[in-house]
Amino acid sequence: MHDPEVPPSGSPRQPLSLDPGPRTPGPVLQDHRSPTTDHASADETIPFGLSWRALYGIVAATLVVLIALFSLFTGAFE
Amino acid sequence: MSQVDWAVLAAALAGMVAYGVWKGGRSRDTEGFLLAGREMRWGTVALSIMATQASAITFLSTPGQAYADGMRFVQFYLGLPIAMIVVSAVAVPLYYRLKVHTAYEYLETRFDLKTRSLTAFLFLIQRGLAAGLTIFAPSLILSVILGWDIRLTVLVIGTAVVIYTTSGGARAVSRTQTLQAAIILTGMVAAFVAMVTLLPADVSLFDALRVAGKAGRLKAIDPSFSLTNRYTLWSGLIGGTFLQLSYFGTDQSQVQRYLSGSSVTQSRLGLLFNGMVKVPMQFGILLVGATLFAFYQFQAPPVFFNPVETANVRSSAEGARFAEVEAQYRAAQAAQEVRARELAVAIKRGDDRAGDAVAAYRAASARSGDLRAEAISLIRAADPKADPSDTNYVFLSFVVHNLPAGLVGLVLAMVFAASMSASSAELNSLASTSVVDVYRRLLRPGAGNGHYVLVSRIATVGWGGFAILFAEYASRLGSLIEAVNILGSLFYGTILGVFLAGFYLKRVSGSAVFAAAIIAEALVVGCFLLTRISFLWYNVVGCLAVLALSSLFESLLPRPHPAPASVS
Repeated sequence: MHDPEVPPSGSPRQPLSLDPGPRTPGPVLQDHRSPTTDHASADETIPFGLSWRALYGIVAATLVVLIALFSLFTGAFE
Repeated sequence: MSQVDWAVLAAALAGMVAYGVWKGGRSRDTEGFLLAGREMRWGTVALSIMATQASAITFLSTPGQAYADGMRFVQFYLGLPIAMIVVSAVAVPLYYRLKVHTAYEYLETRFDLKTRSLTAFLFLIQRGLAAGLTIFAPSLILSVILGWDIRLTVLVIGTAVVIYTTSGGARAVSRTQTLQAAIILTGMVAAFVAMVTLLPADVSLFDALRVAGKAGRLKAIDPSFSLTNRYTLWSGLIGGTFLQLSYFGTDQSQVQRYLSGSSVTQSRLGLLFNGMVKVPMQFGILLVGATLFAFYQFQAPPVFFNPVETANVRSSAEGARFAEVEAQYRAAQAAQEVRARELAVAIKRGDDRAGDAVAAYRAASARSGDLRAEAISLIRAADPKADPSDTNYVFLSFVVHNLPAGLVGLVLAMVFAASMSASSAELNSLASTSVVDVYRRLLRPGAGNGHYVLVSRIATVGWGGFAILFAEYASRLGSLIEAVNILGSLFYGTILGVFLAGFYLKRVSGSAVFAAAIIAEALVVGCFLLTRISFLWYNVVGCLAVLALSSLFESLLPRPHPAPASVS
């Protein structure tokens, strides 16, 4: 296989985890970084200068508002 | 259908295929063909994600669902924003870092080949059959309402999708989905506006909705907790989150859409936009159905919306009795319309007698409901295999019989667009999994990029042919169709459990998670066969079982002893 992006099929498989447990030595792939420090996205601006955590909060808050609005809608037309 | 409608439909269909072929270009490597060269901006990613999830049946069945059962179905989607956050935070950066083409590649990196192959195999079965149904379901509805040849309809939709998906791959799929989303949005808005304008002159939309509310059709939130009630706030938030996590985090038809983003940021923004827009969008589609219900409070609907079944019962031994029931139903509907108008006036005036008006309206509505139930029982008596549900036919029946020329063609173009957008993404993801996880990994590793692109195109045509053939014969499979629909919900929880074990249980090995997945799947199947638990909860059961059992098995597996310290 010539596609360099895919891990070679015969290579030894290493466990990969996002579990924020103690770091293990060696080539174990771990992601203990905040999503905002991810190298793949660090070069791009997040809209309105927000952090990812703030954007996630906005999505969650939108859900809460929607549930509240749906509840009001239900009550208003019942 | 008028010639104008045919012209609109033909132009939209030809336009979608031509646009897909044009925008898809000619990809020469797997990155281009399977992931659109990873160059999509967040807007395209978001539209592509939404168009993939929303098939034609979404736009045909959902209004019918609200018409028959009210708006509580919206709770099914409440877990989606939560799932978008989790997938954005956890899965997206991981997939990008590993530069995978499919979600299942990650499982070999984390566990082993057999775990990757198991999940890829489950996906191919489940999504391959689903691709056939994605084409079959709208074709069936179109054939019933318009009398079209179902085989020809299946062939037209399937062939159109295969042409541009094979030509341009993921880029063609994503670009065409933006055009299809525009057609779908225009069609739904046009249908809604037409519906409102067709209300009686003295009844406003708000008045009509107040009447629908009195009939219980505007209940969007049900805060009660029940394992057997399919749509509640809690089943949506808990079971729905697990289902959507599995769908968006592990189903290649969705993973492939956001992996076509030009960066982690673009993919995340696409997912989060979906998380903010999807629930209101579904609410809007359900509101169309509730408005349709309100419309039919002021104009008599047919006693049953499936014309094929009503034609069958009329020509059977039950025909005479059915005709009587139909006549009584029309009279009852006329009385109900009077009561609905009185109720609308009473509500508008804030009349103290509104309580009486509500009781009178509900009594008239109950009489109509009883007659409709009797009509359905006659349909079942004439043909025990007849489908007693007509929710899929409500919306299209309204469109064909009430909308002006041109708009009918536009709404039908919307149905074709939705079917094509979902099935093209399915074919593209089936091709990618077939090539990346099976052909390139197991059968022929080490071939050139051009060879894999060629095999990807062949796989697209092959899966397209399979979907068309399955759709052509689906009508003969009877209850198997229902079984295939349930199949997806049976596997999603287990697959999600495998991925979450990979993400979070770092000590769990491939053998432990593989055994746990097998047992968890048996547990879910047991729940399906032996209990009345609603299917949304299967996702919770399967996922938690994999996490618990894999941890247990890992603790029982013999561990290699550390080498004794050397003594010099």
